[in-house]
Amino acid sequence: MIGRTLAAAASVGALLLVAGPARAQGEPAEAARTVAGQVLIVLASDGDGGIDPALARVPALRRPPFDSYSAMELLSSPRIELTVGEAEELELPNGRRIRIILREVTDEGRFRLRVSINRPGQRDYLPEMGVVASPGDPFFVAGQSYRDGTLVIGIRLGERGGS
Amino acid sequence: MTAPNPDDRLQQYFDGELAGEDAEVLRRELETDEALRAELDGLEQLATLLRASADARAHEVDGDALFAAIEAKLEVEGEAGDDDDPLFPTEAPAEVRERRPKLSVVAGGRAEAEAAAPPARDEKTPHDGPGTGTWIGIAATAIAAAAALVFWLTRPSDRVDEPGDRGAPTVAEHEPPPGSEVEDVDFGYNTGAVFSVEGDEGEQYAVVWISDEKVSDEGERTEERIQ
Repeated sequence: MIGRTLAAAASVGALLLVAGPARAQGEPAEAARTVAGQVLIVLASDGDGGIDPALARVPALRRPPFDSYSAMELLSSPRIELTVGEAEELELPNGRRIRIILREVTDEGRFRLRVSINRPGQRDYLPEMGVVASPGDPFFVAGQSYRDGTLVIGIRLGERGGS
Repeated sequence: MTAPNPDDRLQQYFDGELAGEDAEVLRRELETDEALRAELDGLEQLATLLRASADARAHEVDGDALFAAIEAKLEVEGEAGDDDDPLFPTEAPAEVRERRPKLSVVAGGRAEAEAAAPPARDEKTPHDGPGTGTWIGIAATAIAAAAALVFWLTRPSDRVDEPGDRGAPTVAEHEPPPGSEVEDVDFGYNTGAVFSVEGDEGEQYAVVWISDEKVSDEGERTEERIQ
């Protein structure tokens, strides 16, 4: 009887020992807290420059309404790393700053963000917006005048099929 | 109306309460989802351990001693009882007492099989008093209960993080719907529009277009162009 009971207790203990690490391996919580992404800062204009080859992998920029511009130049494409609840700021070529906060990763695996674009200490352009995006799928904020054209800013987080 | 929690479905499936198409869907998921299968295996292991523990405790109870004690107690109460009350006699007449069989445990088929089998190595020894085994059985039950608690506390959460919550986000269990959507936007002093542009596979990407011009107090628009 004692042997059987001890064997049962040992089995339960073993189950506890195995269940802990297995759970930890199955929940990449720390990995999910931080998400890599990229911001595309594009100047769209009616110039003669054509479409920047670096934008070939962003077909959305060749569709309406973006296709009304004859030229698109990729000004920069900084990579970002967002952590849930922490703001990331980037300076735009027009002196404004874009502020991005990853608020959460939803149960579906989508990213819920808050974005604002303003001059430091002001609310002069985009005070705030909320957006939800799937991994690898961008969203765009466009309309700021810059040089002889318009800034189109694309933001994309994660990769399709698992980030 | 929300879809049932996958964990609830698994529990229902394990309990045999999930029927029809739901059960079939979960069965298919179990074939492909290792994590889900592991969770089901965990439930089965846990149930087995709990059954084993309960069984061990049941074997610890000395049925003969228990019935003997009950009988002795009845007799003591019978001797001390008041036989003057005809409606509630506490002691049966002598002839009835003689016909009443002694209480005892009747050995079932399992007990007979155990008696026929050679003694196991962990057979109770004289120095192993009845209290020791019982306490070990209780300890085993407590450990099994702790295991159940750990299992349920560490299962995936249904909770959705509140905005601003810095806790770890939950892990996606399904492929998210493609595209992006604007939930809300404050255009401030500017005018703007929200629309979408189509991706290669028909998915919709959100576009917020904000004119870079301020509306003055007099209602005039001044375009702000930065060189």
